[in-house]
Amino acid sequence: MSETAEQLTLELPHRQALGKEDFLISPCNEEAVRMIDTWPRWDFFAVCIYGSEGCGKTHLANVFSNRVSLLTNYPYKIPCIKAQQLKLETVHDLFQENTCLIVEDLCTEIDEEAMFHLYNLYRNEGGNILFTSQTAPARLHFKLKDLQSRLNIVPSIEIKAPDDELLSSLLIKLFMDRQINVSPEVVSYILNNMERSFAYARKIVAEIDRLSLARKRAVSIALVKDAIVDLADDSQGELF
Amino acid sequence: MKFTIERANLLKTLSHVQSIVEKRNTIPVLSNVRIEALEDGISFKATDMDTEITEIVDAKTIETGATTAPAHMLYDIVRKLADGSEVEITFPDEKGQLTIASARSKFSLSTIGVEDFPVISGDKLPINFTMDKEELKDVIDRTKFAVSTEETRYYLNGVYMHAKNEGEAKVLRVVATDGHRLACVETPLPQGAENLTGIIVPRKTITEIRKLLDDNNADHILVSMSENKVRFAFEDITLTSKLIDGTYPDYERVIPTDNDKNLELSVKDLSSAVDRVSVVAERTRAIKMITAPSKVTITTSSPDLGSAQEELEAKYEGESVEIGYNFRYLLDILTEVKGDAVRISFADASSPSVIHDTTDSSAIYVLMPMRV
Repeated sequence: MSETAEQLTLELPHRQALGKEDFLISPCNEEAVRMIDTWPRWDFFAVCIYGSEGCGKTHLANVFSNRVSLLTNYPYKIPCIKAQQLKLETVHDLFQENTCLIVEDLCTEIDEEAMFHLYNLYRNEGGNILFTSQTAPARLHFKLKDLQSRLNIVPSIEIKAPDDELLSSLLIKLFMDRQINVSPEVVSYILNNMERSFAYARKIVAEIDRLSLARKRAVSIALVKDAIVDLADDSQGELF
Repeated sequence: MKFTIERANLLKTLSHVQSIVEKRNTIPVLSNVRIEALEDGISFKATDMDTEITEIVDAKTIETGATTAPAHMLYDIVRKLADGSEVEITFPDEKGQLTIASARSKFSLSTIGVEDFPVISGDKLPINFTMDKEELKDVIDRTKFAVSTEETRYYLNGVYMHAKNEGEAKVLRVVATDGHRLACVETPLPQGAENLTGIIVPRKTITEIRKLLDDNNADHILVSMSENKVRFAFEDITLTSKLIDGTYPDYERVIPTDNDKNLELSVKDLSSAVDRVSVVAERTRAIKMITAPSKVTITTSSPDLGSAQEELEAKYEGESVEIGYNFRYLLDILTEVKGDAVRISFADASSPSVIHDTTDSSAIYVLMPMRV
């Protein structure tokens, strides 16, 4: 038996704050926020917000959904479907039931014919689609040339790499989502030692949460150092 | 203010109220107990600003009045007075202090005026129900051990209580977890608790109420709740507490429902075996259970200390699995299993195991394994 037996932890779920007031606005994402705020006065029927993993696309989509419900007195949230799950046989029903739709992860492998019909229905019959993607639609490579040409003209707004101010606020928000109190010194230490990406911010907070729960220890700089090492170990490939 | 009281009654009351008072306080009056001589008894009140206790005790009031005096010191004094003696308490004496006199002993203590003493009770709480004393003791005992003591996750530093529709039956669910294990206990929903959507009662309040339940003759306890407070009222004692202002996690999502391997064995045999093996596992706290048809082997080993092994008869069919547990967590759970046999259900060595009494479905314990 190992001398360093490790206690595993329950994966207690936490709720992310996804309201408009919870979205952290900075120069890297203000254009995307402005676009959401201008609905329904969009110049084109569809818009695409794209950016790297964890940059807040889903959060913004949620804000969009709330805005549509509020302005149209719609009592429910408008549907948010994964592009990968779109099927040809459901396209018509989706359009009949929803004048607004969120289609997430356009960059994944999709049923291109279904997406083509969905696009045409909303464009020709009237309706709005908010797409999200990690890559701009114009840089995606669809086999269906007609779909490619249509998506090429969808106004696309990039959420750019985060600045330090945003990363610091994001770390605090991510800890707050998990109801964990951390000191400004800890946030500052993470900020000075982290990879500059939204995805890493989420990973490091999740790892700190896991380590602190497993060890039953408060979040200290020493614990953060261990979490950073754990993440580095995870990303290191193995020769054998 | 002047009254005489039996030392035993005074000591019992002070033991309850001083327990609420923190040892160190930045606000001086919080170190004190508020004493008020009423026509028909003496009221003792203490608070730490989150919890407040009030106890009324029989005594002979000579003159009504009120003041506050250091709670721990008063308790220590009364504890050292002769058993069976009468105590006379006077305020103010000739020096403006509180005098405690009994037989040939006399103490004078500094006081702080009652106007500085904070009061957190007094609000009307909308949800009211009565609970049987034994039932309340039982749900506390079967969950309290799993409450987190680590302050970072403040929302786990208490027990979560909520009403739940369980099929036809309505139940009161009481849940506690520290992220390593989870205890979930049900009891029939008391009338009046139907609107209890979910509150987190702090660990300290649970500990204090549990002590009071042992020390009181009342058969029923009146429980009152609001969004941010809970109150437990006995005949002469009222404990009011703020609730933890946090969101309890959706705990049901971590209770597995499809664990396909079931190990069934005697609680007594398992407890004894784990207890013996644990002598060698004190450092890592890890033991390993190895299942095989009709038996289970419990082992532990440490390069410095040695090793231990116990073999037990068990009902088990299926492939052999090696699974590690913290022996303390396992013993904590087994202590609360009242039946003769326990069932441990698991999927594999890294997923949550579910433990319950084979004859009682009112409690479920979830235990995360250790990677050993």
